[in-house]
Amino acid sequence: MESEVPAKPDSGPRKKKKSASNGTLPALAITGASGFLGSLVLSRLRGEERFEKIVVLDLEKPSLPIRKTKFYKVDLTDPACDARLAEIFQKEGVRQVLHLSFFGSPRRDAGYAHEVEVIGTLHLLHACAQHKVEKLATVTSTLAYGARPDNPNFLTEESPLRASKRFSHLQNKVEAEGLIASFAEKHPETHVTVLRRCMTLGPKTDTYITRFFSRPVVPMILGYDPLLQFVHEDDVLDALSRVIQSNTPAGVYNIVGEGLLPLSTLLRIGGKWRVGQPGFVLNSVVGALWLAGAGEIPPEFLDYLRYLCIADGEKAREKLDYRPRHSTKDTWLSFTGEARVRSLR
Amino acid sequence: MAKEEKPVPAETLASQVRKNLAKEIEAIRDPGIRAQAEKRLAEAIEGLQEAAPKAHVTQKGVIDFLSDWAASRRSASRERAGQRAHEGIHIDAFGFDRAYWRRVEPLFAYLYENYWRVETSGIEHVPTEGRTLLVANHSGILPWDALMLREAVEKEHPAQRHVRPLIEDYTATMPFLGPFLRRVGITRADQQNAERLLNDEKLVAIFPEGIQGIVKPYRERYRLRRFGRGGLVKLAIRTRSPVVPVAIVGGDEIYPVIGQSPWLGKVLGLPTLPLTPLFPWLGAAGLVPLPSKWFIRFGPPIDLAKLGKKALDDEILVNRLNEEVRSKVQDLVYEVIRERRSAWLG
Repeated sequence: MESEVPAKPDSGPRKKKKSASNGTLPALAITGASGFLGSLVLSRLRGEERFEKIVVLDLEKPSLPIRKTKFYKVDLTDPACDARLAEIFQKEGVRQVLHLSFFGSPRRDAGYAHEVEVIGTLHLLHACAQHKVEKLATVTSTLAYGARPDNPNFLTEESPLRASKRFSHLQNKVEAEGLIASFAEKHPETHVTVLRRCMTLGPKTDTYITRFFSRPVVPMILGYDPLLQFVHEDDVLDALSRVIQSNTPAGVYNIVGEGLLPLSTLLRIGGKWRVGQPGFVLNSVVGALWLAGAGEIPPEFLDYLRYLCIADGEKAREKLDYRPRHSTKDTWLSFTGEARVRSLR
Repeated sequence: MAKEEKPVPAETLASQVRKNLAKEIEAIRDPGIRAQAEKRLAEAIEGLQEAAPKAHVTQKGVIDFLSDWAASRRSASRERAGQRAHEGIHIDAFGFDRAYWRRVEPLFAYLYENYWRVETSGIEHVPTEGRTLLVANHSGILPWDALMLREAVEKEHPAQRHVRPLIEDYTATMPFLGPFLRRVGITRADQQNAERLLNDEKLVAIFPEGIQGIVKPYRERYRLRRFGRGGLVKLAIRTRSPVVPVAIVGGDEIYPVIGQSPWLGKVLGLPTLPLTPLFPWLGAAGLVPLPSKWFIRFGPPIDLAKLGKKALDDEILVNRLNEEVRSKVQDLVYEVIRERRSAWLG
């Protein structure tokens, strides 16, 4: 354990403040805690006293000081990291794992992204199997269902994940989900929950999707006007904290905002300029920009401006009692308002 | 202007304001701005006098007063603009935009009444409420029949129900046409979509012939093709919906299909491209439908729900029922054809 970096005293892991109330939650380990979702979760858990301990696993120490955290530098791409993770789980008595080491935006070094997202998940699952973790929760994306012309209007959790094979960013999620699903099948004693969130917007979210929609000009593909749905980051966090803090039934859930609107209507009420382009023009321009390293939208994303990829949030409503506080429209309007303020700054 | 705490009558205040401000306004050099200021002052004073000529108001700085007034005007107009941006967005889960439908409906009403002179009968067979599955024959390259069926029920049915037609992928995913159809409430035919709409107690119309129906050659018109693979029967049993057979006669004459070119279709990214004497030789103009005389007839409902879910496992039974529904629609079509004398005059 020579690479262990103990948390600073001010983050207080040694504070003898064991809450004796029966509401104490077992130790929680978070992977990818300094990532986009991880840092949001950590800031949400800041005031949460009920966790016995929060074990933060990442390459970098999260900047936020939180009480009762313990940081371990773990590289999920390291071939030996599964044994190390199991060791850490053993030592800290981890009983819950929140797996968030997924990238919010597509990366140009697709090989590295694959190592982290797929192989990293595999390593984590090995460790979970070894240590017999009680609960494993993770967050992936409904975009992994894929935007296809033959999609039903509402994709349920049973629908196959058919994201484009060339969209490696989503393909990694599909593969990771496959690993998690087979793990859940093999280890019924572990309570596995997968939350698939749709396009997430919010003041703290910064992904390729928020950057794409925060521009004043948004391209549309001529002849296509798909329905889109959004979820607010707070609602994703609500669903996630519901899963890690209470006994919710295991399974896969779509986490979406209520309602949906066509792209053209969204752009109109968001005060954006719509620029309709023929599909082949947009494809080649976006593809060239992506290859040149100037664009941040891979050309495969354009499918989502063409075809339907709407998930049905009914199961989460029923089983998780998840009620999104922001509808698609509210999420979008607050986002475009914020984007305007951001651009003025 | 100095602010006074003591309330004074509004009339006094108005004249005082006018006197004091006249001087200030005269000092403005730019004639445009001066005219504007004068107009604003006149409006403000008028408003003040109208609102409460006898009321006592606290005297406020004129500049404050005017800026308050302008701000309230601005915020009101902002509010109106905001409302404009959000009002009229009544888009349901399938993308059906009611406001848009109301805007474009007159075109279809014209086609219904004047162009195709549609005669609708048997509308009493359509229930006033609750889930119902309309099963119709299919025709035309573009889904005119679906739109006319919508129009027929909306115009003739006492409950003016919205029909939610489901159409094959061929048309539903076509560029430009697809988003338009989605906006007017036409959805891609899909078992899950149909189930969801029926569970919402909607009136759903399906055209089980699918693409085979729309590329049917002219000489085989009104001879119904195979009704898919029995999906309609399973749908009706699973959702316990009554099935109402519908015959749409006249649609097969609007585009006399003389052949089809899968090769040309492939170029355009479609499974096949139907050829008529006018299309695609005249381009888009070849898609103007011919003015045939239309008849839409609804038959008595078929109750498949009584069979229960057990029937779903019996594929032979499902197939037989499917064939039965098809023959009901076919009989209805022949019934209408026997009655009409001419395809164009009726």
